[in-house]
Amino acid sequence: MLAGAALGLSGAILQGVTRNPLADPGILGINNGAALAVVIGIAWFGIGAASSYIWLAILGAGLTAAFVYAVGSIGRGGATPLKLALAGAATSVALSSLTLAVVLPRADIAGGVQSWQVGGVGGATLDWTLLVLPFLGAGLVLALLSARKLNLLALGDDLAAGLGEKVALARAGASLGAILLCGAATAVCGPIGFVGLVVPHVCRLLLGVDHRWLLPASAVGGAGLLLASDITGRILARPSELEVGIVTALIGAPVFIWIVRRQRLRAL
Amino acid sequence: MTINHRLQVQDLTAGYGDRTIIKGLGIDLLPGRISAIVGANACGKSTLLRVMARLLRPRGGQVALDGAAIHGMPTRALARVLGLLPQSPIAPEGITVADLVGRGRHPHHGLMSRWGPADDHAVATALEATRITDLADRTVDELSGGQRQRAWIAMALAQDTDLLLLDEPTTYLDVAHQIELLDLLCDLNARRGTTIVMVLHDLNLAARYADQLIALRAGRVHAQDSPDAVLTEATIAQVFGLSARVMRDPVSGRPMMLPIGRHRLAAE
Repeated sequence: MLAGAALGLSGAILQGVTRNPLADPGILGINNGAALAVVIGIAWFGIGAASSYIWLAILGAGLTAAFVYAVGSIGRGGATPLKLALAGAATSVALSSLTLAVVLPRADIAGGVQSWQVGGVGGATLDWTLLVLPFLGAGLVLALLSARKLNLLALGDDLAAGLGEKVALARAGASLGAILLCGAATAVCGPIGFVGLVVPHVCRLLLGVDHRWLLPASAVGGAGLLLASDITGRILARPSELEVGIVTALIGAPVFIWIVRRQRLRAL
Repeated sequence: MTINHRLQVQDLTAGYGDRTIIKGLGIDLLPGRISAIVGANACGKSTLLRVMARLLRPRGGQVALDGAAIHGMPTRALARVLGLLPQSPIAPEGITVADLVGRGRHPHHGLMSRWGPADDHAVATALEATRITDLADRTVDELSGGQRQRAWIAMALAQDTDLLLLDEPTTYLDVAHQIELLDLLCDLNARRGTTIVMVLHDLNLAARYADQLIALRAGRVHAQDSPDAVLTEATIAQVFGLSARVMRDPVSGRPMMLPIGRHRLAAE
C-alpha cells in the first residue's frame, strides 16, 4: 500500500513537472532504472543489505530521470509530451533488457530477481517497510511542499516565473521528491508499472487540477489500486498468486491507450 | 494605489546562446502611463520584455526598479510589484476561471499562509473588472478567445501589481475584442494608476492607446516619445523599411499610418 501511494504520488508529480499527461515512473523508465541499479548491485557487487538496495534504486531512478529528460529535450520544441514518452519507453525497454542480460548468466540469483522484477508486494515485510519509511517520508514532504509550485508550473514557465516562482528550483525539488518515492517503492517491490499513470488521471477527473488536492488523492488512490491489484492477483491465480505488476499492467495498458487517444494531449 | 514604481532599462545587452539580440538599450518608462513597444519582427521586442520581467538574465546593463536591479531582488517580492502576461500562457485542461484567476494571488502568500478575505476580494474585483464574474465556475477550455484573454488579464489583475507587462495581448483576437481588451487596460490604468507596458504589432492601435511609443530597430531604441513624435513617415521607413502615409486619426486625434505597398495604389 505504501508502495502504491508512493507510485501514485510520484506519477502525479512527474505529470505536473513535465506538464505531460503521459509521464509516469514506469513509462519514463525511472522504475526500470532503479531496478537495473539494484540488480547490478546484487549480481556484480554482491550487495545483499536491504538498505543498500534503496540507495541503489534511488540512484538508478535519478540517473534515468536525468537521462530521459536530456534525450527528450533534444531537438525542436524541447521536452514535448510525446518525445518524453518515446524517450522514456525506449530507455525503459533498453534498461529492462540490460537487467535481463545482467541476471541471465547468474542462475544463483535469477529466481529471486525475476519475481522481484515483475513486481511483488509479498517481499515487503515489516523490516523493509521500516527501512524505506524515511525515504518515503522525505519524498512526501518534498511532494507536499511542491503542490503549489506545480500549480504554477502548469501555467507555463514564463508565467510561473512572472508570479515569483523559481522555475528550475521548483522543478528540481519536485522531481527529487518523485525520484525518492518511486526509487524507494521499486527497491521493495520491483518495478510496478502504470500505477503512477492511471491514478493521477482518475483523480484529476474527479477532483480537478489543483495539485494541493491532486497529490494527496493520488497517494491514496495509488495505495487503493495496488491493494486491489494484489487481492485480484491472489484470487485469480489461487492457490498461488499473480504478481501485482502484471495485474496493474492489465489495468493500466487500456487506460494508457485511452489517454493517448484523447484529443488535447498537449494541453495539460 | 498612489505610489508609482519607476522601471528603467539601463544600457542593456541581452540575447540567447551566442546570439546577442539587444545591444546597449536604454528606456525610461513613464510611471502611471501606458507604453507600447513596437518594431519589426526579430528586432528584440519580446526579448526586451522577457528581460524586463526577469525571465532572461541580462549580459550587460540592468533593468532597475526604483533604482535597484530587478535580477538581484527576491523574485516573489518582485512579483508583488511587477506582473507579466506572456504571449501564449498555458491553461491546464479543466481548470476553472476562478481557479486560474486565484493563482494570480501566489506571490502574496508565503509557505504557510492561507487563502484569506483579501484574496477573495482581489479575485472578485478582478473578475468584475474584466466582466467575467458570471463565467467564474466555467472551465477555461469552454471560453471563447476573447473571454479567455480576459480571464488571463483577470489573473494578472488579481496579482495586484503596480506594473504590468504584456506580450502582444491582442494576438489571435478579432478587432472588436482587440479594442475591448485595450479599453480594459486603459480602465485599469485610469482607475488604479497601473503602469502598463505592452508589445503591440498594430501601429495604429499602439499610437491610439499608448502615451509613450518605443520603437526598436535591430536591438536598439530607435525612438521613444509620444505617438505624435514617433509615428512619422520617416520613422516607419527606418524601423520597418516600409513607405507609409501618416495622417490624423479622425476618431482619436492621434496619428495613424496607411502602408504603401507595390500594388493597389489609387492613381495619383
